[in-house]
Amino acid sequence: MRAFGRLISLLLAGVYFGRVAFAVFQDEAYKSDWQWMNIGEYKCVIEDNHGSFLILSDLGDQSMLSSVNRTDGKILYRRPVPFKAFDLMLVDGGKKMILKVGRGQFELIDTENSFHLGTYVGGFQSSCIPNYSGIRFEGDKLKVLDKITDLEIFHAVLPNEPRTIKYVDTDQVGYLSLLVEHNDFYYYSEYHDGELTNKWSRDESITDIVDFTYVSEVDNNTNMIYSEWNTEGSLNIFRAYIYRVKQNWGRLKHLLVHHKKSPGAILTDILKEDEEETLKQRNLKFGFLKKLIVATKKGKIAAINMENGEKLWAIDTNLSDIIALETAKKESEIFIFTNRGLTLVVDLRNQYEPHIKQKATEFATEKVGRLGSSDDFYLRGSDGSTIMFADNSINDFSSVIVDHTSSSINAYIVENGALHQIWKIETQEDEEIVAFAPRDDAPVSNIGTILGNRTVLYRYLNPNLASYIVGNKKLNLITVNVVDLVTGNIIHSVYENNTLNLDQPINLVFGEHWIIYSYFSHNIVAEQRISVIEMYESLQPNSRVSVGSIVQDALKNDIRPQFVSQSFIFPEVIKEMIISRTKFGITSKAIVLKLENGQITYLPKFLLNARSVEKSKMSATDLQEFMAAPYVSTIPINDNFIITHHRNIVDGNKAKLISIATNLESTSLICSLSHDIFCTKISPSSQFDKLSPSFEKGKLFATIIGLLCVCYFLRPIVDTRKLKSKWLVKENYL
Amino acid sequence: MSQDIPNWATNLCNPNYVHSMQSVSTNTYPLPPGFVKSRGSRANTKAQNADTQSNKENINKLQVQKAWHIALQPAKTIPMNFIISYMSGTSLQIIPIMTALMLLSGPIKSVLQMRSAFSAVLGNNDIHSQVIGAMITYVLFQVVLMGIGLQKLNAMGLIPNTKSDWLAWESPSTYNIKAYAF
Repeated sequence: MRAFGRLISLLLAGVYFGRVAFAVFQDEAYKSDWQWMNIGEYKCVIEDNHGSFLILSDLGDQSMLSSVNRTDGKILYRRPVPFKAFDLMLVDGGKKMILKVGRGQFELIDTENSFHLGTYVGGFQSSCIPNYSGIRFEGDKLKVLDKITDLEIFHAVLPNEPRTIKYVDTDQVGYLSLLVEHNDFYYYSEYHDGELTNKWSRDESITDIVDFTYVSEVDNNTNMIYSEWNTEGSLNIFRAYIYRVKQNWGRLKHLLVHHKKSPGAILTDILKEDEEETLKQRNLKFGFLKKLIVATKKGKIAAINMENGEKLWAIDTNLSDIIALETAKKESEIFIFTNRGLTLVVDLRNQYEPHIKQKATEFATEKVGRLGSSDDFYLRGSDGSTIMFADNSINDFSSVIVDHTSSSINAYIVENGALHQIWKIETQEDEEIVAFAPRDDAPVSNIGTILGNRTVLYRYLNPNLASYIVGNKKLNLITVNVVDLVTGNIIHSVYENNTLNLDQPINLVFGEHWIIYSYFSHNIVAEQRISVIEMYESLQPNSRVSVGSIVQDALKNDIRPQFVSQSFIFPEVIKEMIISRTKFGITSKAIVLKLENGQITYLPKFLLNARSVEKSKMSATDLQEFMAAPYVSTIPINDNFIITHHRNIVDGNKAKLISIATNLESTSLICSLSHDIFCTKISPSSQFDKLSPSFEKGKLFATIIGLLCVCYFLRPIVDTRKLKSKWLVKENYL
Repeated sequence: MSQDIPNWATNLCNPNYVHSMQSVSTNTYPLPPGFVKSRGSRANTKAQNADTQSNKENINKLQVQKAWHIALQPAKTIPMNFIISYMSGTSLQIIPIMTALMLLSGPIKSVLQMRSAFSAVLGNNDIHSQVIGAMITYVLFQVVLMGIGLQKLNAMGLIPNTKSDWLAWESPSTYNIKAYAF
């Protein structure tokens, strides 16, 4: 197979001519990614000394100061400030400002650079209240009044109620500058000499994301291919081959009929690349046309086109306690779970105008979990009780549900639709579960790691595993554990003897047969550590312990894996960590990291190799292993792997970093959802299944046609020559 | 005016003239000084017999020699092929793969066309066994050549002879209970 694989890769290499794009370069930046740069709810809008708007808004537990260009509404900068400010006062001619952070508590900030200058004690008068002098509201009109006569000079039309005037400024002659909020949209209009000269609006409705889900656009072609695959799978190899040939022949016939058997029409169809319809079809085929559906803290449900970030629709549910958003019934409905249980169902069948269909059960819910891809949900109540919300598709005694809180892990078995506790792990006093990660449910493409000498280390691929990190608050230490979810046995426990800061983010991901965790160590020097544990059935090459052909009894699973681990230093604090997902799990996994500075980057899994050793200890055959690299203690950040480029992503409290598989095995969609929304595509093993845009189709076809033409003319000449030579007729005599 | 035909011209046209010419055998001429005539006719025939015998032996010898020459020809290419195969590297490129495949196909072709290669020396029953020996050697050397090709393919990892090559056909274990963790 490896030989075959190598041949295939050789062919692929031939096709792609070494155009390997391991990273995102300038040509893809700002084309395959998009961002919703949000400010949030404008708490205070003032004019700064440069004539721009200075806006105070909330950012999680903190506040943010943003500057917005008055001409076009573009953000000039956004700076988080380390306080939760409620009000603002400009002092010192606008050079400094005082933020009200609590009752009688004020902080002094430099306006220009947003530097914290110290605490302020003294009087406070808000600069945020709009100056309503010289204007009057009448219905949907804002009238500018003459200074002397108090009569209307001109008026501006306001958006419908409910609305809030955020900023207004007029000279009571002909100038008016007005910023009005309506439904989380901010409308700015500017009048000169009583005439509207400039207007823009900002949509601040999709911010502070609490949960998300996504809906893929239906591609009938792909569905057809999947059904064909399924049919092929049920046939024997020869029949399957005949079946496939027949299907392809049918497709060719359809193509010919569709183009009325005109080669010209087929050729132009192939060559026209950039037409909107072709692009759309291709994106549909590649599975890029997905709708990201997000729920905001304020209860807005909005659908965003994942290809370009365009908002498709939004509904206001007025629910401020949404905890989960889940698709159901083959993505035709969205279940909205709040603290009261399943509260709303959104019907998506009309994709342009979804409507709220029904209200459902009441159950004081704290946590919602979906069971695989089924429509069955596990709900944990705020009182600790648990229920199943299911259409009874679960097989009794074949599913175990494991839930964790900060102090315990509880496992239940499903029996007659009810949950019965089977085991429980509780932490000690002063201990807390700081991270929990079940094993990634992605498909397994390879059950072993191939070493340089072409032997195999078999991976431990028990799907019923989870890993969790227990932090000891007293000793500032962490323990990493691997637990068998069915039996509750802790099969591995690693004690990190570096003291660390439990307030800094601790991240944990569990891939196929490996666990990667990151923490901020305090020992000796303060540094960000990233560690990896890999599990193998045996560390002896070519020895497999598990049996593939039989169904293992998960309760009597006595195969104990063997562990290898390694630790690395990372130059930035890691805030979030996820594993990239692809359709078949063939592409090398990437560890996507959200850094504290707001950037998102990724590390290929093979860089974080637990078996890596110093170069001096590696033999020539060791180096032949796929992507084998000697151990280097510090993993540098490669600029080409910063997938946010120079975008600035501002997060609230906790960002949701997500990875969604596309139909292209090479490509995964990565999004960061929080205060801002950012989405991009990554290809951790280069775009091996997509022709590069620079591929010269036209030239290729021209060459083929040219060669065919040459053959067409040369053939009769060659035939006559052959005939003549057979008759021994010399060319000259004729 | 008629002219008499010269004598030589008449003789030239007469085919019988040559027979009427009196010639003297060179045997009657005295031998050149220092030249000694061989003795008696009996010894002569014996020597002739011995000559044909040794000729045959010589021919056989030559043919055997020829057969071994043919048999050893592939051996001469072994060092060259070995060096070429070593120098072309084990990278998966079209040229090293082609060299390796040629090293594999060449010997098979040669073995199949062995009769035509040995046609010059076949058909002589006296040396049949020796020719067979040469042929076996020939096949052996072709096998060695093929071995170089195989070794090269193996070095390239194109021969599925290790466990890793069949890994894709091994299926992971399945479990009767599925756990969902949140």
